[in-house]
Amino acid sequence: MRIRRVQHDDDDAVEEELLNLDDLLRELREKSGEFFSKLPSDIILDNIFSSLPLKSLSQCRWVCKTWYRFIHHPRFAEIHYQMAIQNRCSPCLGFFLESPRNELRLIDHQVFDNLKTSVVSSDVETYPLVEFGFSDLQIIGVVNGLVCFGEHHHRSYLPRKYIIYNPITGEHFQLPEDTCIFTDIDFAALGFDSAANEYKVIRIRDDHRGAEIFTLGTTRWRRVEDHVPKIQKTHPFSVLVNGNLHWISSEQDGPLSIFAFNVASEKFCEFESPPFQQEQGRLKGALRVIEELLCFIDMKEFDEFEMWVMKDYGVQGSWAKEYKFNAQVLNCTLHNYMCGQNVFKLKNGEFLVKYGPKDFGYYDAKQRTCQPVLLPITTDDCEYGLPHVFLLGSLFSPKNIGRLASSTQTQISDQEEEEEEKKSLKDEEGEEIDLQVLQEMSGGSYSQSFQVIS
Amino acid sequence: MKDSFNPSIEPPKKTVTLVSSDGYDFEVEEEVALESQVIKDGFEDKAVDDREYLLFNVHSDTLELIIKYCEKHVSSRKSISAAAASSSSSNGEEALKEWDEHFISVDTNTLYDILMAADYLNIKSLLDLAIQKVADTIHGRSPEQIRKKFNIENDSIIDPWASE
Repeated sequence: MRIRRVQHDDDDAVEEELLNLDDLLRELREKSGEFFSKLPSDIILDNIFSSLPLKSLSQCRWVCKTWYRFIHHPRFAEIHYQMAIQNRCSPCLGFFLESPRNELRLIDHQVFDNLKTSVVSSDVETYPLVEFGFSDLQIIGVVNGLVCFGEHHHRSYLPRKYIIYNPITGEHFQLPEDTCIFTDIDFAALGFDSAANEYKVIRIRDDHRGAEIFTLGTTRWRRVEDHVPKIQKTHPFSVLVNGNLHWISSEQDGPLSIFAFNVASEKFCEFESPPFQQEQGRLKGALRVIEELLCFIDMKEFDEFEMWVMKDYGVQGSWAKEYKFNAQVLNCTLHNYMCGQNVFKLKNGEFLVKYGPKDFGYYDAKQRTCQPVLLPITTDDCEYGLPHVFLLGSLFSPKNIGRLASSTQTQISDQEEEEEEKKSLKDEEGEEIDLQVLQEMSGGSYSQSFQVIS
Repeated sequence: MKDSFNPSIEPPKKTVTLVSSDGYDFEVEEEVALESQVIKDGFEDKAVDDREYLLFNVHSDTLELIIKYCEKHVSSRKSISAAAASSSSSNGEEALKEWDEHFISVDTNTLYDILMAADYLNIKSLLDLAIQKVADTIHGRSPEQIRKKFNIENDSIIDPWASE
């Protein structure tokens, strides 16, 4: 059988054949002392390991090699993640503190749910951050507990480095750079197609000039010919709902609109916007996901914003205005450019609103009151404002993603495969030429922009 | 509630005989035995004078503990609901939790025996308690402590983050 998906990494341990989880479980029972050898497999898997918190499992990996392989098994990661969703585990608020600290701090949602004082000091778990070897990190997206970092598109010289990182296990995987061509990148996103179990990173050039896509588990970036909608530069962050990535697009002086990119079909399409009154020069907004629903945050004034929720995804006319926030209620100075992007709904129905570089407020939507929350972070910890995410942690391995996809891939029937082989040969040839042209093109446009600057 | 309403007219307690794997008879009250879902399931079909259960998988040492657990839970439930009925404050649930914690603080061999018996007899609350105990034994411990606790061989896997 031809192997199209090649895993390129230097870790020998990952290269070995993936055992069936049942076989691994048998091995775990044999090698883990008398107690585990006597326990039935289903109790070990369903009752003990699946219910252990991530922090413990992270420690348990270092008990012995069998435990390591068991906890790192993609099937186990899947079971554990589904269990966390089923048990309605709260996501954490994660802060990435860059050097010299270089760590991730996770604060559990429940801390905010039961907030009695306005000081959060305990219940903060700290994880060491991997040294990625490049600075000016930008968070591109978060899917299934995996965080995609990239070199900052506007602050880096040639932004081509992307890393998929699991902060819980510390594993990371760097996407190959050699087939990544474009340098005039405006925006990138991490998408997930749950049906095919595929993760894709998409990077979009400015001025509609195309996009590049990397499917995790493959070896090269691919270019998309499709017309690429323009991204609103002030909010270059996408949200993933129902297998579609969404972002705000705006033409010069045109109305504000939402675009969607279907991760599976790799097609762009226009999406229905909330029916608000659009005034000239006031096209400010941001997208969010709240309770699995697509939300639009409409910046009304400098110190006021409203939140629209799409009640039935993709159904026309299902946008509804749900919440309104203003500075009087927040009783603090709103930093307009920040706050809209940083509203999170908590399990208890209240909100966490970010209104400054390290300032969060706890907003009671019913009482319409707000109190500041002091997080265990100092001003020194954050230079440019704090990179933060809402994260439901997982054990998914960035290195194993492609392998999981390749196991799905082997199910393709022989006939289909032959056809695909012919097609892919054509692709390869076509792409070689394409690559050269694009390289020249990209180099050309780069030197052009360089001239403009100088 | 019915029981606590007028205990004097309560009929004499019915009993069930449980026989351990090593051949000891344990006579327990019916409601105590019914804590086991397995016993409860076929209970009504059995004749009253034939209420004897041979528990091939449960040793007398373990069975004694299991019965102790079930008796405690049956009596606690009664006192908790009695307290609720008379709306007097009670810390019954709190106390029972404490009792459970003390009950399950046993060595790994006994923990294993209780866990397997609870699984076999299908006593959900006890199975949960035992599993939670195993999880607690793992949770918050260093790899070295886990290895020691469960007697797992150290095959020199190295934690890159370990400070030592």
